[in-house]
Amino acid sequence: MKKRYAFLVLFLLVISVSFGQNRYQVGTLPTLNISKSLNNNWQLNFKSEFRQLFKEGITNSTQNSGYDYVHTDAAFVISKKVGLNNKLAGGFLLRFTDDDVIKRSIQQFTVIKSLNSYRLGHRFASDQTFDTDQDMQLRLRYRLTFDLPLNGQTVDPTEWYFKISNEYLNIFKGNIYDLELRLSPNFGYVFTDNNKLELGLEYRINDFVNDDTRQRYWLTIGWYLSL
Amino acid sequence: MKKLIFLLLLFLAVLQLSAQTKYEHESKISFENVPEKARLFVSKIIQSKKVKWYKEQSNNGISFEAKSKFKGKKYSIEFDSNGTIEDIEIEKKWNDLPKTIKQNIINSLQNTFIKHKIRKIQIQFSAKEKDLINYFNNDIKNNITIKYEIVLKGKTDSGKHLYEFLFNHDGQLESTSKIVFRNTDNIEF
Repeated sequence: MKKRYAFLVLFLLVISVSFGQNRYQVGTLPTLNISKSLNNNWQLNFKSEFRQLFKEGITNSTQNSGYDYVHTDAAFVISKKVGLNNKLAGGFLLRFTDDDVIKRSIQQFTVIKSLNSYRLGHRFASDQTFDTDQDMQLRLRYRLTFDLPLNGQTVDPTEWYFKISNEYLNIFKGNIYDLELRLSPNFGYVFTDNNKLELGLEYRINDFVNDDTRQRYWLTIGWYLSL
Repeated sequence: MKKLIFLLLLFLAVLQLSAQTKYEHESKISFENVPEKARLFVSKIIQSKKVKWYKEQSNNGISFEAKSKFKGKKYSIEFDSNGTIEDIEIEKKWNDLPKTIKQNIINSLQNTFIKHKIRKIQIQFSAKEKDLINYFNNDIKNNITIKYEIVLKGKTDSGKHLYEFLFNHDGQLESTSKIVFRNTDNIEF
């Protein structure tokens, strides 16, 4: 199973470099995620992400640039468990760029199946982004996530796990449609069940249906705390 | 900034300390690290080359578990820290259970839940080592205790939860426990 996923990651990376001339970005995405359980299966979640670029340009070209701060996100989501494995959630995100604050509303439905030693998560989501002087952007998203312990049948405290997710984003803005694909392999470490750290990569590709492919490579670090 | 990092690290340390009250650690181990007594027992029960071994350390001590598939059925064999057999569990389908047992189990579940769905059934065999070997090899049922362990999704007035129910040889309820899921934040968000 692990070999199969390693092959998939490698395959997608090979595909990505086989595109001709295209835009690329390389950066980091540190994330802090804090959850608080409430009564009656309600939960509050706060997520903050800080995005910065270290390299940006066009492949096979001399046009490229160095460090750039992109934005900081703050997202607040409230969720309610509606079944044994299902949750409905909604919230909003504020994106702080150098000169603007972008607003986004979020809706999502998740299904998480625990199967013997591994877990499979489906996330169906939509969001609407409101940016000054621009058409509203609508995204319809589906993400599949798989995680498994790297030792034994369960992930215990002080153990590592592997997590991989693959997301498809249908993006509508005015009359323009775009499809973005994301693949994110991660290694996670469990301090306690409510305190985890994940390190990984995230590969994003979009605009590939037009002749203007954009590929983004992120080094990710995510800290998940549950209070 | 330094203050913030310090506070975050302090918070992490506090969470770490609070987790040390309940200790449970399970890991996969190689064949050589299993007590010989346990290895010998497994070789007498199942003739399979593929046996996975696990070691569990908890506040209650150390235990070992062998997992394998034999004749199309999943086996889980548990031992104490010395390699002495505790029980053998074999995964079964609902229709494999005797009719009277099924009826008793259904009565019990219907009394407890508004709705239920069985997810997993294991028949649990426990006895002395020689009696278990006799039972599995020669079908001699001396001093064997049989129990039924059932994992199910149950709906009560307080909502839907996952449970583990243990029934005795007659299908009468012995114990119940609610299964607690691992935190799912890193899959949801």
